[in-house]
Amino acid sequence: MKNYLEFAQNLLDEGETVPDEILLKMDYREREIILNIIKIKETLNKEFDISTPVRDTIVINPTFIKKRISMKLLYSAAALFIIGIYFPISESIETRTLLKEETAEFVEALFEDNYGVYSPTGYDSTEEWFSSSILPDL
Amino acid sequence: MTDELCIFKFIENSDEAAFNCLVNRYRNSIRRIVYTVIKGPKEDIEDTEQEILWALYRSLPEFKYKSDFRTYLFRMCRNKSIDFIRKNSRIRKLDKLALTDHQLSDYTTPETILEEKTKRELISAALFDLKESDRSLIIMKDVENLSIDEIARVFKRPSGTIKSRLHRARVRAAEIIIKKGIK
Repeated sequence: MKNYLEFAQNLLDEGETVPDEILLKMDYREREIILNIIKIKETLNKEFDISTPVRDTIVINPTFIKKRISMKLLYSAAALFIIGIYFPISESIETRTLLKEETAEFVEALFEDNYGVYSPTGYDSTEEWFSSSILPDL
Repeated sequence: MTDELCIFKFIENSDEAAFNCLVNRYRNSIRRIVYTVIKGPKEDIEDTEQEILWALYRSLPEFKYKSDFRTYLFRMCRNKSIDFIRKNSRIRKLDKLALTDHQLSDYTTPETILEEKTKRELISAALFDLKESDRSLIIMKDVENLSIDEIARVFKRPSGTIKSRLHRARVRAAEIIIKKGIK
């Protein structure tokens, strides 16, 4: 059986029109299909236009944009890290120092009140003894 | 100035104007192919276009003059667009514009204008119902007017395969239109 649909499309591919004789040889379904194909072809040829306005071409390196964005992200992350981590740490250090000083003062005052100035054996002062033994981590 | 001469000037003399001339010549074709493949919104199409232009700018010095520039460019457009789809699997819905209305004023009565508009919408819808490769085949043949052999080089498939796939794609598009009721 002859494939007139294929034959007609071959003609269209060559830029020819499909003659009526061929259309008449086709059955109803084939004819309907080829007529629609012709319609699509004509419409697309004339109308498929999503043209851009003529302007100077500016080529931008997309990887450069990505790099720029990622550097921004990096800086923001660094800033957040400093705010989020540095301040709690510095606060904690200050608290520890204060606590250490106050404890030492308190104990010293305690010894002074009861026994005068007291130096534990092997240490020049109470403060030295405390800092090296009881509260080394504070 | 031919495409090859533009490429030669760009490669040998770093002539940016020659590159711009080449790009402006194919600007609309690039956009049509990108649009055909990704059928996404304008921003996605523009991003992909930029990727293509940048890739072209970098790879053109490697051009060997063995293949036709148009097939080289169209292959790059299709591959970059497919890459875009892979990277952005969640493609947003198509901006509804495939066929322009600029020649509708040629039709005289409101009925014929409406009829023509409906026909265009149906054709557009039928095209976008097809799978990407079928749609690209039709656009490359019937809009960009590439020959079967040129399309075969773009798709890196034998000409016979391309021809039968194109014919099947056209039949499918026509059947969709018939089913949707265009007269």
